[in-house]
Amino acid sequence: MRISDSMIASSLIAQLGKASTRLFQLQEQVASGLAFRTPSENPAGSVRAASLRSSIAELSRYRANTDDARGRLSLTEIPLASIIESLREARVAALSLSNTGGGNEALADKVHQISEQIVRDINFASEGRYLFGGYKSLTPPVVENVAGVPPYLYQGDRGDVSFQLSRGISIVGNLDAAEVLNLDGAAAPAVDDTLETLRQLEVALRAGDQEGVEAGLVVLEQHFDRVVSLRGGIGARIQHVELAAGRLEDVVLTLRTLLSETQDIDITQAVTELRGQEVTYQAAAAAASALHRASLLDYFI
Amino acid sequence: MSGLFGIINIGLSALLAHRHSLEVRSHNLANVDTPGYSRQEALLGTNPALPPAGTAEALIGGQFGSGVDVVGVRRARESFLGLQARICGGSLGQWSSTASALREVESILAPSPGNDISSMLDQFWNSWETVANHPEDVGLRYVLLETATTLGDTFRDYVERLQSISLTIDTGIETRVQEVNGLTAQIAEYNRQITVALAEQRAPNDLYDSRDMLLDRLAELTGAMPVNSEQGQLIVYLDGRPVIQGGSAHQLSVTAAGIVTSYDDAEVQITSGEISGLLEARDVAIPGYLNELDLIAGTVVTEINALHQSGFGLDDVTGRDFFVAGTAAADIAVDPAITADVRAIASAAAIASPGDGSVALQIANLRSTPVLAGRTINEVAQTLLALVGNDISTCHHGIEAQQFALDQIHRQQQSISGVSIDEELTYLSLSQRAYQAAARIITTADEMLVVIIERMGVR
Repeated sequence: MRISDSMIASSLIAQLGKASTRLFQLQEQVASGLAFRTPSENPAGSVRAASLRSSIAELSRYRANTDDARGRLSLTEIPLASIIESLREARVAALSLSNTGGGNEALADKVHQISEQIVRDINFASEGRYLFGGYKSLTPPVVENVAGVPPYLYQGDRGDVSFQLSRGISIVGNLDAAEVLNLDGAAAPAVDDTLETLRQLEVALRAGDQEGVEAGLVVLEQHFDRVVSLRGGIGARIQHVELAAGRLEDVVLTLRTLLSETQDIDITQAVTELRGQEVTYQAAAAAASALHRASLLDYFI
Repeated sequence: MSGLFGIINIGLSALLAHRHSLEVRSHNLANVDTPGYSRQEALLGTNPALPPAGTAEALIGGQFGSGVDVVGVRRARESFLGLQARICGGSLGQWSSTASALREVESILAPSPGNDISSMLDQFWNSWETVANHPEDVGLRYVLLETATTLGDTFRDYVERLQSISLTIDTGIETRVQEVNGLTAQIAEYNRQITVALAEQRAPNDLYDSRDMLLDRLAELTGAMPVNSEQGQLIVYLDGRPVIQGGSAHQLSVTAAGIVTSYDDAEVQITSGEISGLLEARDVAIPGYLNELDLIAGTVVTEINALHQSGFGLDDVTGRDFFVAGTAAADIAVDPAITADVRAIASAAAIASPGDGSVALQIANLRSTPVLAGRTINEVAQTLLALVGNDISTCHHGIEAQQFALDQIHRQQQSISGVSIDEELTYLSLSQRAYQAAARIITTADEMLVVIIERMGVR
């Protein structure tokens, strides 16, 4: 093949161009840590990466939901524990009467205060929202009944505040005042609501009505058992949420690893390749300059 | 036999021929770097031989040579390679111009990983879910409003910038059409000069070179191929209509209907070259992306509004839109009622239920609902990015293949037409020696004449 000077020049330029393009790509990859930065560099990979990023965003949201759910459940647990304590105190008060006999104003007053404490607990609000009123979170779940009997009325809606833990799977993050205090009479066997029971107990204590107190104690026991089991349920839900949180973290971690495998470069390989490419570039330059140096002009005329 | 004067004549013919040859070599050396220059060669040929003295000239042939002459100056060129180069150049121009327009699109739609419409949508869904978890929290509703506004702004910005790319492409097409008109006018002028030169029995090699360069550029722009390229009466067709006919050129102009030729005022379909690449990007690729954007934005608006209308805001009003009703990415915007008061965002499924976030949750769950023919909104958004990426990478593959072919062809062309300094130097010194020898012939003949005149003459 006949070799002309313009051939040497243009092939030198082409080769150096090729080598420096590759060198530039590798340097960019090493500097950014990404194997590709735009969809055009790797259309399939970039779609996979976008879909992984989308999944990570979704699952991270679910992970954040578990925090919200746990917060809500833990907040619910505090007044619930206090109500259990109140009910226990009410039982002690009622039992004190059956031992002494006769009316006892002090014990009756105590039960009255306990009843008020329970109302305060059930009307507990956090960040301006009432926890035990279902969706009616801006109005107190329980208000005093002007008619007197039952002493308090429920004004919530038993709405389930649920938190999504993964696609289509939710957990209820609240308890309702109606459920806790049997305000809508849904408990089986059918009994009065807790606050009505306490009112009757208070009346019986004031009157020294031994039989009334004993009947009240039986019902109180049922209320106590129900609230305790509800609290247990909350504990179980918290545990469930924590398990879900742990699992979600694992999944997100796996997805991040996958994303990294999809879009990140293997730094060792890239740096090795970079070195190799540098050598190629220098070799191309050296070979070309050797070819350029050789000229007949050095030998005659 | 011609005698001593004949020898002087032979020497003279050699002097002239080799000087001419030296001229051609010098021209080659001078143009070693000139783009488009084809190496030239002085073709030497012997003069007709003379018959022996005293023989009738009518008798066949001569025996005694009468020196050398330059019979022509040849241009080293393979016209087949020129054709190949123009075909590749046309394709290369087409791929490159599409690619550069689409790379701009890509830089808008996916400036960096994780900074694209799919990620924007993810943030948007997450904001809805946050509101679903804390429906009473007005602060979080502001966050949602902010995300929704940004989403709308982004869609509108995308549309605006894609449209402005289309406008830039318009300018690019206009400029290139002007360039084509300039080229065709120049080529027609060269055609006239070449016709004249050929009529005068001259070899217009340098004119051929210049015209070839212009034809290469014309092919790069339009893919137009010349017919009968070595003659003065060169014709170039574009979409079956002549743009150059020998010495006359027909102008192209850009009108609303397309590119029109002055030949018969009909529209010319340009199917190769840079202009075709730009047309492709402007008329096929970018409208396609805009359609996809409209599809995504329109679905977001319709689906969210349908759910939002069923819900109740914190102000217990229902039946309101979240986005201003519309189907295009260019006019997506949050409803003014929502912007005015974020409490209007409908998160509850029933009236007077501030703690109910179920409608907001339904909206958040649109992220995983296949609402677009079995695909989710996010999947369609990701497909759009893949579409842009694929289009560009197809162009890049085309560029690479054509560039490779073109490099090969150029290499062959340069191998044939390129100037080699070493080669020229060798011939240069050969011609120099030949010139010296010719001079010596004349001196020798002259000395011989001196012998005859001075020694044999009458004293």
